[in-house]
Amino acid sequence: MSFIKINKISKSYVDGMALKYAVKEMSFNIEKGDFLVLSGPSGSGKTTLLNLISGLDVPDSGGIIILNENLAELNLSLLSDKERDEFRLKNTGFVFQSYNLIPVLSAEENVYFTLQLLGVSKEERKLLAREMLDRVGLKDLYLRRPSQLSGGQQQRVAIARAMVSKPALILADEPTANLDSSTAKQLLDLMVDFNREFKTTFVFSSHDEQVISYAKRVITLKDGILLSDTKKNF
Amino acid sequence: MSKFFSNYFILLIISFRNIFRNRNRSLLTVLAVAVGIVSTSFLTAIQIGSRKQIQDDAVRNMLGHLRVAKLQSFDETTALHRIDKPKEQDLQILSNITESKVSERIRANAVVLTERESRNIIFLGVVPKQEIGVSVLDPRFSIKEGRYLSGENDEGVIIGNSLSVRLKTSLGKRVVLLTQDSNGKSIERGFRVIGIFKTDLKSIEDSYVVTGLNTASSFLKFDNQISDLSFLINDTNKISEALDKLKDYFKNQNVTNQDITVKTWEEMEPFLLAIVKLQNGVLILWYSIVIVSVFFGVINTLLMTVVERQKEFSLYRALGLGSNLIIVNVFMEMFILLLFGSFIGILLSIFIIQILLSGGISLTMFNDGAELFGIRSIIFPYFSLPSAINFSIILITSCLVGIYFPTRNASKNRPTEGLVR
Repeated sequence: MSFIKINKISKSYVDGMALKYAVKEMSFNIEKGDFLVLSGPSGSGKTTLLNLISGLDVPDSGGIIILNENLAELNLSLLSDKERDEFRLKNTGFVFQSYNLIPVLSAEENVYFTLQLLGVSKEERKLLAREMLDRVGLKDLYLRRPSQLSGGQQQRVAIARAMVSKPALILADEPTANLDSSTAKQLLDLMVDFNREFKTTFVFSSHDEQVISYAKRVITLKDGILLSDTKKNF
Repeated sequence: MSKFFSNYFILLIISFRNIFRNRNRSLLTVLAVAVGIVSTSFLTAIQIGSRKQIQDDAVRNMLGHLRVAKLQSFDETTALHRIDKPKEQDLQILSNITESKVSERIRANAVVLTERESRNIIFLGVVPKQEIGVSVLDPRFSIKEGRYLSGENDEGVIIGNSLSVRLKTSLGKRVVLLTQDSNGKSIERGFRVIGIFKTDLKSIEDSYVVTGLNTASSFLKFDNQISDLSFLINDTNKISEALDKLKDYFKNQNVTNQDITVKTWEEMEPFLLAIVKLQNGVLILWYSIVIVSVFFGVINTLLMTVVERQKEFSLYRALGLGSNLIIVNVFMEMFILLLFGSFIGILLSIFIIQILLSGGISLTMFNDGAELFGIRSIIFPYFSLPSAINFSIILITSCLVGIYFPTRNASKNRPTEGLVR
C-alpha cells in the first residue's frame, strides 16, 4: 500500500486575465521511506506540489490520500483547516529555502517548538532538541538566536526542527539553494542517514544537481505536468 | 492538560520576546495608552474634586445634606413657616439615628441697612456650638475680624467680608435689619457687627447676617420655634439611608407640626445638581473622545504588527500551530502591552494628581465665572483609582475587540500566501 497517493490533482491560479495551471491532473504514488526529488525549472509547479502534499494548500480537483500512523487513509482535501494543521504537526516536518526560523526563539527553542506543541515534557524535549542539534553539528550553539547564526547554521536548525519529532514525512523546498556546496553536502548526508535510520519519507523540490544526485527517485515537472518519474538503484 | 499549558507557555514566551524585539512599536503603544489613562484620570480628578467641592460647599453653606422644615419654607424664606424646636434629647436621637451633626436654625429674608447702603440678605439665627464642623460659620476657619457668636443669646451679628465692603461698614458699627415677624408684621432693629467672616465663595459672604438663635427668635417672635433643622451626614454615602430614617422618625412621632418635609441638598439645589450632571456628561464625552483616539492610535500600530507578521503566522501554521493559537499569541502580546500602558498611566496619574497637584489647581483668573457654577477659585483634584481601572478595562477591551477580526483574518490566510512573501 502506497504511503501517499496523488490522484489527478490540479491547482490553477489567475495570471492577469488568464487561468494558468501550476499543477495539472498529476498522479503518482510515494512509498514509505522514499527519498524523492521533484525537479524542474522555475515555474514548473514543484513548490505548489509540495504545498499540496503537505496540506498547506488544497487542490482545485483530485485528491491526495495519505496513510496515517494507524494505516488509515486520510484524504487531505477533505480535511478542515484545523485538521490539516493537526496533521502537519503530527506527521510532517518542513525545511524551507529561506530557513524560516522563529526569530525570537533560540536555536534550541526553535527545534523543540513542535515538540512543545505536541505536549512533550520539558526535560524530554530539551534533551531531544539538543541531541538533534548535536547531530546537525551545532553543539554549543543551543542558545543562539537565528540572527546570531550564519545561513548554513540556520538551515541546520531548520533541519533539526523538521526531524526532531521523527515525522513520517519531511518536505524540503529548495533546502540547499542558499548554501555552499560543502554545507549542502553535509546536510544532505544527514538527511540520507535519517531516511535510512527512521524510514522517514523525504520529498524535496529542487533543481540542484547535487540534491538530485542523492535522490532515490526523481520526478521531473514542466509547466505543471509530470514529464518523467525515474527511480535509481543504489 | 500539560499540552494545553505547554502550548500557552511557549506562546507567552514568544509574546514577551516580540514586545522587546519591536521596542519602538511597543513603546508607542504603551505611551498611547498611558497618555489616554492620564488624560482621563486628570479630567476625572478635576470633575470629582469640583463635584466634591460643590457638594461640600453647598451643604456647608447653611444647606446641609438634609433639611427638615415646613414644605413652604423651601420656597419662601420667611418667619411665617416654622416648626417646633426639638427638645435636647430629641435632638440627640435625631443625631444618632441619622449619624449626623444637627443644627437648629431660624432664617428669614431681610434687608440690611447702613447709613450709606442696603442689601437683601438672609437673617440667620444659629446655635453657635452646633455650627462647629457643620457650616462655613465654623469659628475655627471663618472669622476674619472680631469674634464669633458667644452663644444663643448673643445680641451681636456677624457678617461676610464681601457684604461689609458692599455696605461700607466695619467691625463694631451698627447695622439695621428690616423684615417681617412670625405674624407678618414689619419689624426693624439695630445690631452691632461683632465679627466678619470669610469663605471661599463671595456669594455666601454677601448672603447672610448671623446672630444667636434666641436673639433671632425674640426679634422675629418665634416663641420656641425654629425655621428648620439641618443635618450634616458623617458618611455621604448614607444620605438616602438617613433620609428614610428621618421620614420614618417624623411619621412615627406623629408630630403636630403639619407639612413637615425632609429634603436632600440635591432637591433643594437643583441647579447644583444640574452642574454635577453636566460635568458627568462632559466626562463621558471626554472618555469617548479619548477611547476613540487612543483606540485608533493603538489599533493602527497593532494592525501594522499583524500585517508585518503575516509570514510568521504562516510559518506557525506550516509547523502545525492552529489559527486559534495564533490569535491567542497576538492577544497575549497586545494584552501585555495594553496592561503595562494602563499600569504606567495609572502610576503617572497618581504622581501628577496626588503629588504635583496636591496644592490644588488655581482658577483665580476665572474666579467670577467659576463661582457662577459654585466652584471655588482653587480646585483640589481627587484621583479615583476605580475610575482609572474601569477606563483601563474599557480601553483594553475595545482594543482587543478591534484587533480580533484583522488577526483572525491574518491567521486564517493560507500559509502558502504568507510564506512566499
